[in-house]
Amino acid sequence: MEQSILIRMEKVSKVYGEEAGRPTVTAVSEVDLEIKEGEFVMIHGPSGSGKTTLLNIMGLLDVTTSGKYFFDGTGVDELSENNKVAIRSQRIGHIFQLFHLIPIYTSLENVLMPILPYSSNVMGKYRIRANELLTRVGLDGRFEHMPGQLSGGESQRVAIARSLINNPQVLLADEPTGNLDKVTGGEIVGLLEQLNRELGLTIVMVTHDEANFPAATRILQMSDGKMI
Amino acid sequence: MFLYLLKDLFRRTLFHGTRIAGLLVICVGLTTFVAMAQSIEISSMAEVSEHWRGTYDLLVRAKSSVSETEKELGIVNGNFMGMPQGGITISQLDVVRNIAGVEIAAPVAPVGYLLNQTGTVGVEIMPIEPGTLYQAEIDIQASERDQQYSRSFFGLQDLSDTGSHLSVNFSSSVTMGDELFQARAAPLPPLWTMLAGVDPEAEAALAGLNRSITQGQYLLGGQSLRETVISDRSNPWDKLKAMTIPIIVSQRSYIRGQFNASISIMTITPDAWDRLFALEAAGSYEELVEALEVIFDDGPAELLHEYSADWDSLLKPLSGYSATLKSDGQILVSESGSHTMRYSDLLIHPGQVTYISCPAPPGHVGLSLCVTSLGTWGETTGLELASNMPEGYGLEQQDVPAESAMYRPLTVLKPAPFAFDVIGTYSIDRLEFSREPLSYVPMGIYETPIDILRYSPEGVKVDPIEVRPSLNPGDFLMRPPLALTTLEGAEYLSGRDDFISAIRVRVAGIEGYSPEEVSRIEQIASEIAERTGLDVAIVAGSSPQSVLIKVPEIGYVEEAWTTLGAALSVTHGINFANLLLLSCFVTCALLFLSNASTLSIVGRSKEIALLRAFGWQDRTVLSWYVGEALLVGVVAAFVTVGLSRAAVFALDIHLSWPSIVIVSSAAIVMYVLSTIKPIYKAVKRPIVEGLSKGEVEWGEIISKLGFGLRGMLDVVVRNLGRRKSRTIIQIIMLALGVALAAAVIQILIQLNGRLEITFLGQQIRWTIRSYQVLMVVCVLIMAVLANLEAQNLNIAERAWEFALLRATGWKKRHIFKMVTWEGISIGCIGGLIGGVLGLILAVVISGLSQGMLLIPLVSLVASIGLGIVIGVIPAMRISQFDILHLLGNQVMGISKKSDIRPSSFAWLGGTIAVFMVAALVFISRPDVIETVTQAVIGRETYHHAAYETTAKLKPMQHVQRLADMEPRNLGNQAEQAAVSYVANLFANNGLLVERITFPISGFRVISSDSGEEILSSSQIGGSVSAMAYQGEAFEEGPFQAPFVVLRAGNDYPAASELEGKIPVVVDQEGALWGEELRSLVAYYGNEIPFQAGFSLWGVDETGLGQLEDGGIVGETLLGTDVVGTILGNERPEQEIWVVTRLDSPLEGGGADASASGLAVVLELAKIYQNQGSPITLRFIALGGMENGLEGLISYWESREVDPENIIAVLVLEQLGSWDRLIAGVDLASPGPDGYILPEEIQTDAMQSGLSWMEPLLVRRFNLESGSIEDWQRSIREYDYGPRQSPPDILDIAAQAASDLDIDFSLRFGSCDPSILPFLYWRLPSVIICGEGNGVIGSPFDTIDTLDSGKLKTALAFSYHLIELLGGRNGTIHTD
Repeated sequence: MEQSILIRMEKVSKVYGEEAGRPTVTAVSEVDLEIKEGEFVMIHGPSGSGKTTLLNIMGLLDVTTSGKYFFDGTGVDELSENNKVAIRSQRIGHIFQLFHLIPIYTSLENVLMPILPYSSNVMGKYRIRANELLTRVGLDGRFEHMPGQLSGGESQRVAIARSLINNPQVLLADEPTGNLDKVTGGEIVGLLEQLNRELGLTIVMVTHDEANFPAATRILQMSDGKMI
Repeated sequence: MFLYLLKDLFRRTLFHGTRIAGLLVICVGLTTFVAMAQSIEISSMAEVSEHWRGTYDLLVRAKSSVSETEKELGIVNGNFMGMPQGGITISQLDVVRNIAGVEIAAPVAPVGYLLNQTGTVGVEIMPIEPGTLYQAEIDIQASERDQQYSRSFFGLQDLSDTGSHLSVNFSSSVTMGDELFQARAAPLPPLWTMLAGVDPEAEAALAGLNRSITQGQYLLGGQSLRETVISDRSNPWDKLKAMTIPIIVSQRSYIRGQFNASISIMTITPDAWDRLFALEAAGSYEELVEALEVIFDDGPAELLHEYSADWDSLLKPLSGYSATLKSDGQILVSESGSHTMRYSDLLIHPGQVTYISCPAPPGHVGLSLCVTSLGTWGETTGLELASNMPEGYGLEQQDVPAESAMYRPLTVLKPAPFAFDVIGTYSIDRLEFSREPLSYVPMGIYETPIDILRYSPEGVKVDPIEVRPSLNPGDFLMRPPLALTTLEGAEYLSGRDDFISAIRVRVAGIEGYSPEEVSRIEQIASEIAERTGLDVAIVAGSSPQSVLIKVPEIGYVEEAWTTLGAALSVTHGINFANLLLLSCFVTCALLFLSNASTLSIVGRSKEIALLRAFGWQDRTVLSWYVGEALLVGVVAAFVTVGLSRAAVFALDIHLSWPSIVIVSSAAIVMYVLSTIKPIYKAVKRPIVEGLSKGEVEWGEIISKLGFGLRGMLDVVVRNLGRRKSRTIIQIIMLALGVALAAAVIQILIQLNGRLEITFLGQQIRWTIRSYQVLMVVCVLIMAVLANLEAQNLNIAERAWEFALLRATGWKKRHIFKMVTWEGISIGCIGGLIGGVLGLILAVVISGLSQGMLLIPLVSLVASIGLGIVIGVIPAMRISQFDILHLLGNQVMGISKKSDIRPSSFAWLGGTIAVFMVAALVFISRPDVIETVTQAVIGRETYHHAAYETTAKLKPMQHVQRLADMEPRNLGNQAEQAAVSYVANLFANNGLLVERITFPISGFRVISSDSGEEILSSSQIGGSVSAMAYQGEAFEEGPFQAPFVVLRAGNDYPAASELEGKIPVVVDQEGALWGEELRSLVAYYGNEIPFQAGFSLWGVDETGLGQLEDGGIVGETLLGTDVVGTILGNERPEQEIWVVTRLDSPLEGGGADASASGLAVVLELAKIYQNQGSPITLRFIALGGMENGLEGLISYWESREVDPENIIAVLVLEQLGSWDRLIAGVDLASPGPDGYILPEEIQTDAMQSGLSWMEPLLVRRFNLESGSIEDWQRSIREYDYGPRQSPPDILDIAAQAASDLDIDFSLRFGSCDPSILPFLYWRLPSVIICGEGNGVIGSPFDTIDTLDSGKLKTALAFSYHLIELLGGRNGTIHTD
C-alpha cells in the first residue's frame, strides 16, 4: 500500500525579530520537506541549525514566516486557531527533552492531561488506554508515582505515553534523549522504534546524537536553517 | 475536570495554601477593619452624642470681649465670665430672647469687686498667770500668694497691779476682772467680693439658682430699684439718696486656705520685766517689740494652745465675721453684723489677663500661653485705692500685700449711691448644671477654673499642686462672683447701658447629636449674630481643653479652657481618618491581590504553554485557571466568614453577617477578576515562548562581572530592566505603601494631637489609636509582602541562572550581593517616590506643618530598610539552591529537591496576620486574650497562687447582672433585687446568711388610689436631712400614711392631728440639719403621735406642693444589708470583715460603684466556702449607703463588736477599672489629687480626729430608744483613736500588691467615705479601690468602662490580702 504524505512543507521559512524591528535571525530557511505516514524521520544538525523551530512548526506550536505547510493534505496556514488546536489535540503528540511532566499529578494523570478538557464522558475509556500505554512503555506498576519519584528515563516514558493518549498520527520528539544517559537514551529510542514498527506511528525526532540513527527510516540533515 | 482541580488544590497545598492565606489576610483584614470602622464610628458618635451638649449651647459676647488669642485658637478662656467686660445692652438681650428656638437666654453682668467689711481675730486668755509673757502668733494663708503673719505680745507682772502690763499689737481693751484677758490681735483680711448681675428667672432655669437658696429669699427679676436714704460715710451727718440693691450672697467665700494660730507663754525674771517696762515707758516701741521677739525666739517658750481652721468657716462674702481664740483651745466664730455699703464705697473693675503664646516646657504636648505681670499691688492699684479711700477706711484694710503681683489691670470706680439689701444666701454646691468633665462649659460666674501647677518657672516638672485664687483681685486666677444681684442692680452700679458681658443661650428642642440638630444650633447662632452684631460661639460640642499657662514667679499651671467645635472636629476627624485608612487598605489590598494573581500565573506560564501544546483550547485553559482561582476563593471565603465572625466577636465590634459575606465576597471577586487578565495574556503568548527555557544572555552579564559596586550595580540595573513591568509594579507598590503610611502617620499625629488636647478627644482617643496603627502596619506589610512575592518569583525564575553563575565561579556572597542590591534599589526608588507622594498627600490633607519635611527622609530610610528585607530574604534563599539539581534533572523547570516557589512568603503574611489579630484582640479585649492564654497554656501563666486560685472565676458576670438593673437606690426594686441576688448567692454557696433591715432616710410618694409610686424623696428637690421612726413601724415593712407638711415658724398642731400621718418639716434656712424634726419630737415629748417623720432641707415649693396634694400618701423606705458568714475552723472568735455596698448612685450604671466591689466580695465568699478559713470571715454587702451611709450604721448598731477580735475590715470599692490599686486611709500619703495634708493636720487627725464624715450622715433617731443627740454623740464623742488605717495592715496590703506585681499606692482621702465610720469605731480598717480612671464613679460608670482583667486582678489581690491577714494571729489593734 502506498504511504500517503502526512507532512509536506514548501519553502518554509521562519525569521525572528522582523516584527520587533530588531536584527533578524533566520531560524529556518526555505525548507522543502515531505514525511509519509509510518516513517521514523530523524532531523540531525548542530545547535542553532533550526531543528527545534522546524519541529515546532510541524507541531503547530509555531507559525511560518513564509512558505506553505500541509498537514495530511490540509494547508495549515489558512486554518483557524480552533482548527489548529483540534489538530494539536487529536493528531499530534509531543515529547520534549525536559519531559515537561506536571509535578502534582501522578504518571497516569499526566498521561490523561491532554484529553482532560474533552473527555468528561469517556474518561473511563481513556483511563484504560492510559494504563495500556503506560504498560506498553514499560511502566507497569508505576501508574500512581509522582514525577518526582521517577527517573529521567521513566519520566520520558510517561511523556511518550502522554503523547500517545489521543492516538495521534504523528509523534514529534524534540531531543527526547538529550537529558538522559546513553543507555537510557538508547532505551527510549528503542521504544520509539518499536512504536513505529509495531503501530506504524509516524515519528519525527530531532536529535544531535548519531547513535540514534539506526532506529530511523530516514535521516535529514540541517545546517543554518536549511535542509541539506 | 473539577476532580483534577480539587486534586490540584490538595496537592499544591503549599502553593494554594499561601494563596488562601494571602486572601485570608485581606478578607479578614477588610471585614475586621470595616467592622472596626463602623464600630468606632458608632461608639464615638454615641460618646460624642452623650456628651456634646453642656448646660448651654451658645455663648454670646461683645466682639470686643473676644481676645485675639481666643479668636486665633478657637477657644474660650477658662474664667472669662467673671470679668465685667460689658458690651451687651438690654435691648440686644431682648432681641436674642425673641428669636424663635431660643429656650433660655441667661445674661451675665459682672459689676466689679466690692471691699468686704473686716472682722478681727481676738484672743482670750484665762486665767492670766502673773509674771508671764504671752505671745500670740497668727498665720493667715488663703493661698500660697497671700500669706499674712502677725505676732502680738501681752504680759502682766503682778495680778495685784493691773496697771503694770505690757500689750504689744493688741488693739483693744484688756479685761482682767475675772483674771481674763481679751483683746484683738489681728484683723481678718478683707475679702474683695465680685458682684454680678443675673436675670433671676433665666438663672433659675439654667442653673437652678433659685433652688440653691439656703437662707432668705431669691432675687426677683424685672423689679425697679427702691430708693432709700443713707448716711455719707465721710460725713455721717450728711444724708444721701441711694438705691437699694437687692443681693444674694454665696454661703462660702471660695477660699480654701488655712488659718493657724498659737498662744505660747514664758516666765521671765523681775529684772527682765523692769527692762521691758522701761522701754515701754520711754516710748521705744520698736525696741520693745524687738526685745520681746528675742525673748521668745531664745525660748524655751511653752506652747499653750494651737488653733487651726479652714478659712471658709471664718470668712463670708460681704459679711463681717470675727474669730476668737478661746482659752479652751476652740475657735469661736461670730458674725459682727450685716453689710452696709455707702456712697463712698469703691468698686474695683478688673480687666482681662493678656495671654501670649510661648513655648511649653520640654516634653509637654499641647497649647501653652504666657501671662505677663503688670507690676505689684503696691505700685498700681494700691496707690490708686489709697487716694480714693474714704475716711474711716484704714489703708491697711486693702490688705493685699503690697508686693503681690498683678496680672490684670484694675480700675477703681465710684458707683452711684447705693445700699445693699442682702435678701438671701445661696450655696454654690447646690447649683444644678452639668459638671460632666466632657461637656463642661464655662460657668465662670459660679466657679473658678481648676488650675494645677505642673512645672516650676524654670520648666522643671513638679508634683502637681492645685493653685488657688488669692485675696488679690488682680491675681491671674479670679474667684467667682460671690454676690449676685438683678440686672437692674447691675445696670445701676455699672452706670452704663451695655453692662451685660455675656449671654448663655440654650436652644429649645435639642435632644441628641445629629447634623440636623447641629445645623439648627448653627442657624440660631447666625441669626443672633446677624440681628445683634454680637460674637456668637457655639459651645455645644465643645470640650474642655487643658492649656498650660506660664505665670511669672509661680510656674506653669494647667487650666481648663474650652475648645469650640471639638465634637465636630473629633467626629469629622474620625470619619476622615477611617475613610482614609480604609482607602489605603483597600488600595493596597487590590494591588496585593492583583500582584499575587499575576505572579501566580506568571510562575506557571510554562505549565499553561504545555497544556496548550497538548491541544487545550484557550478558553479551556482560561476557565481551568479561573476555576482554580474561584475554588481557592471559595475556600478562602468560607474560612474568612468564620474568622471574621470570630474576630468581630473577639473584638466586640459590630458587623452583621450580610456585611461580612458582602465584604468577603467582594475580596474574592476582586481576586478572581484580577486572575483573568494574566491568564488571558498567558494564553495569548506563543506556546513556544512559554515552553522555552528562558535562555540567559550569559555573555552580556558575565562581561560585566567587575565586582566593584559600580559593576555590580550595573548588573543589578540590567537585571531589574529585564523584567521592566514587574519591577515597576514592585516600585509602585512599595512607593504607594510608604506614601500612604507616611501620610497616615502624619495625620495620625495631627489627629491625635488635636484629640489629645481636649477631654472629649481623650475620652475616645483609645478607641482609634490601636486601630489606626494596625491599619498602617497592615498596609506596609502588604506592600512588603507583595514585593517579597515578586522578588521571590524573580529568583525562582532565575534559579538556573544563579546555579550557572555559581557553576562558573561566582561565590554565594556575589549572588547574595547582587540580589540584595536589587531589593535595595527598588527600596530606594520606591522610598523616594513614596516620600514625595506622602508629603504631597499630607500637605493636601492637613496642610504644611512643622516637622513634615522629615517625611521624605524618614520614608526613604524606611524604604531602604524594607528594600534590604525584600532583597536579603530572597537572597538568603538562593544559597539553599542545589546547583546540580538545578542544572540537572528538571520537572517543569522546578528542581526536585530545591522547592523554589513563588508565594511562599505569603506564609509570613499569614503569620503576621495572626499576630495582628492577636494584637488587636489584646488591645481591645484583654479578657479574651486571658481566656485564650489560659486555655492554651493552662495554669502556668499565673505566677502566683492567688492568680491561680482566682483564674477561673468570673466576677464580671456579677457586675453585668447588677449593672443591668436600674440604679439601686432608696430601697427601690433594683436594690431589692440586688439584695436577693446577693443573699441567694451566699446561701447557694453555703454561707450563713443574715439580712439586716433598716429604715432609710427617704420616702416614696404614692397614689392613694392606685398605690403606685408617683415619685420619691430624691425627686422633689432638696434632700432629707433627718428622719425619726418608731422601730415597730418598720418591723413589718414600710409604713404608709398621708403626709402633713409643717413649716418652720408655725405652731405645731395638736397631737391628735398627726396621728397616723407622716409629718414632714422644713428646716429653717441656716438651721442645723434636722433641727425642726428635733424640735417637733421635743414638742410632743413622751406622747409622740406619729410613727415616722422627716426633716427636709432645701426643698422647693413645687416639691412641697406635691406632698400636700390630698390624693397621695407617703411610704417610708427600708434598706437591707446582707451578711454572709463563714465561721473560722480554728479561731472563730477572730474575724475579718470584707465589706462593700450593694446600692448605687441615682445616676449611671453603678457598675464600678460598686458592683465591682460586690462582685469581688461574692467571688471571695465562694472561694472561702470551698477552702475554709481558720478565722471567721464576714462578707458584708451594705444597702442604703448612698443615703447617709445608713446600711453601715445599721450594721454597726445591729451587733456588739469587740474591736480586739476584728483582725481587719477590708472595704472594697471601685475595682473594675484602674491604673493602680490604692489603699487608704494613710494620712501621710497624698490624696487622689496629689494633695498632702500638712503635718499638723495629720497630727490633729491622728490625735483628735477630723469630722469629714459628718456631712455624709443623715440624722435619724428611733423614737422608742434613741434620739438624734444620742446618735450624734456616738459618732462625735467616741474615744476615737487614730483616724487612719493601721500601718501594719497598710504594709500587708503593699506586700500583697508587690507579691502579685500590681501597681499600688497608699492614699489619704481615697475612693469612698464609707471607710471613715469604721475608723471612728476603732476597727482596723482599710479601703481598697482602683485609681486612675476619671470616668469611674461618675454617670459614665457603666459596664463598658470596666475591664474584666483588672477586676480579676483586684479579686486576686483581695484574696491574697485576706490570706496574708488571716495567717496572722489577730494581733492588729488600733491602739
